Amino acid sequence: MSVLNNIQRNSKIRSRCNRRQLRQSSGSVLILAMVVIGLLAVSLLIGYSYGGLFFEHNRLQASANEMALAAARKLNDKDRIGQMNNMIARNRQIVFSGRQQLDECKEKYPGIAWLAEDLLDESRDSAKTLEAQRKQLSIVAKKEARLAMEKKFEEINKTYAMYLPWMKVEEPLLAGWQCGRVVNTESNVEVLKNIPELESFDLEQNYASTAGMKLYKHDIDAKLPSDDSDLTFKISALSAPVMKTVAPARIILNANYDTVIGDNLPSACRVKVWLPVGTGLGPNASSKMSCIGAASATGGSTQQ
Amino acid sequence: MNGALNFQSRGRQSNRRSSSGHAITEFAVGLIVLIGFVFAPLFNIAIIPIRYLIVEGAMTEMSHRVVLCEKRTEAYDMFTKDPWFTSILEKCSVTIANPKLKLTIISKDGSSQIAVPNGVSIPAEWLPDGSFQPSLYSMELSADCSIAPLFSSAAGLPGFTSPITLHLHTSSPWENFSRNPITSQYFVNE
Repeated sequence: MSVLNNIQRNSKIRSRCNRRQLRQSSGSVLILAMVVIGLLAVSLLIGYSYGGLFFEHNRLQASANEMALAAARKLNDKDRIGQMNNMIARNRQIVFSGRQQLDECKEKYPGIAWLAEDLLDESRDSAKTLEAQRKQLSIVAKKEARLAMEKKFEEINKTYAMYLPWMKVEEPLLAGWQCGRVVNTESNVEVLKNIPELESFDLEQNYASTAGMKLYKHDIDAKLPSDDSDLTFKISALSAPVMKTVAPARIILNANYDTVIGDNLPSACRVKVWLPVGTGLGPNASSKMSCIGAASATGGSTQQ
Repeated sequence: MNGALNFQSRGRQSNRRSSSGHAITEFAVGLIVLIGFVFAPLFNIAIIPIRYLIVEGAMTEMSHRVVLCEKRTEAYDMFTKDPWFTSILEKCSVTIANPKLKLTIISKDGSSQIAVPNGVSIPAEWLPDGSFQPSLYSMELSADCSIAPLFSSAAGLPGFTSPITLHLHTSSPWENFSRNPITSQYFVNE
């Protein structure tokens, strides 16, 4: 009896086991399918997120360009650099002309030489004042450009942060900025034509370009001859108005940006920004995306 | 008694063996079907949108770079000589054919437009001081892009087993509207 009972019990256990195993085996495929589809979805999501880094880079480049443009626009605000270049060139002409008049008076009209001397001294003093103002303008223009750039940076930097379990994008960092000029750009001032001696002196000294519009070259100290050689006449780079067309402020290629020589006035800006990015899943890696934006200031206006 | 116990243990062994084997067989078939007919094709296709986004981004970046050049001729030079564009796409298994760069000028009301290819000057009425002003100047970059799936061969169903060819184009507005002090011409026309 006991053997029969055992056999019956065993058969019951076996059928229960079989049912359970059937349930388990059919369920395992369903679970597996769900797991595989889930993994596929997650891997695609991660793939798309990393593909999105390419767009983040483009966005960062656009932000760097915007910041550089905001700064560059401020540099020549109300044509202050263009006007300074023009004032320096005209003052230089006045000093040269004053020296000529004094020499002529001493030779022909010694009685009024004192008057010519006063005029010359006045123009020389103006040259010194202008030089001081030029230095001041350089400080003010750079400071205002920096403020404009930082304001733009504050506007955009809050829109970047993105924290996903597998990827982190932090807020961008301002790595640095510079003021400079655009390559192959001379000054906005045409060689003044009223005094032929000065014109020929300038061409002789290689102060002016000879092709097309005769513009004073960029970043020169156009020293005058002999007694007035102690004065400083620094003319900076700035796009010249051509046929009344003023060059608008614009984004330029980083390759077309160059530094200014000495303490000359700037006419372009360059901004470098970093965007820290990192991975969250698997190996914890972090890196910085880097973008450089450059922009040119508005060109000089036509002089009346 | 002993015979009953032996029978019991043998029953258990055979039961365990057959049920586990059955699960493995079912699992393997399911896995093959899942990987071969669901997972692999899905993954194969899913890579195409990622590559498409990269191509789109690269083309936008390239069109943006060329408009920052000083002169239009420099823009064409950059487009044909800069290896960045083709190299980044090659790395993503994307083949570029018929790449074209042209300047498109559209009058602001959109009623008329003109396409200016490489080597051709802009007609006087379309220049920034011409009669059609104000107008929008943009450099249009177009190309036939063959985007390959993850596992691809030369022939087959495009997008599944062979590359899918898409005609893409992007454009960016021209930046430099100043004139060249040497020639007095607009830089966009040089």
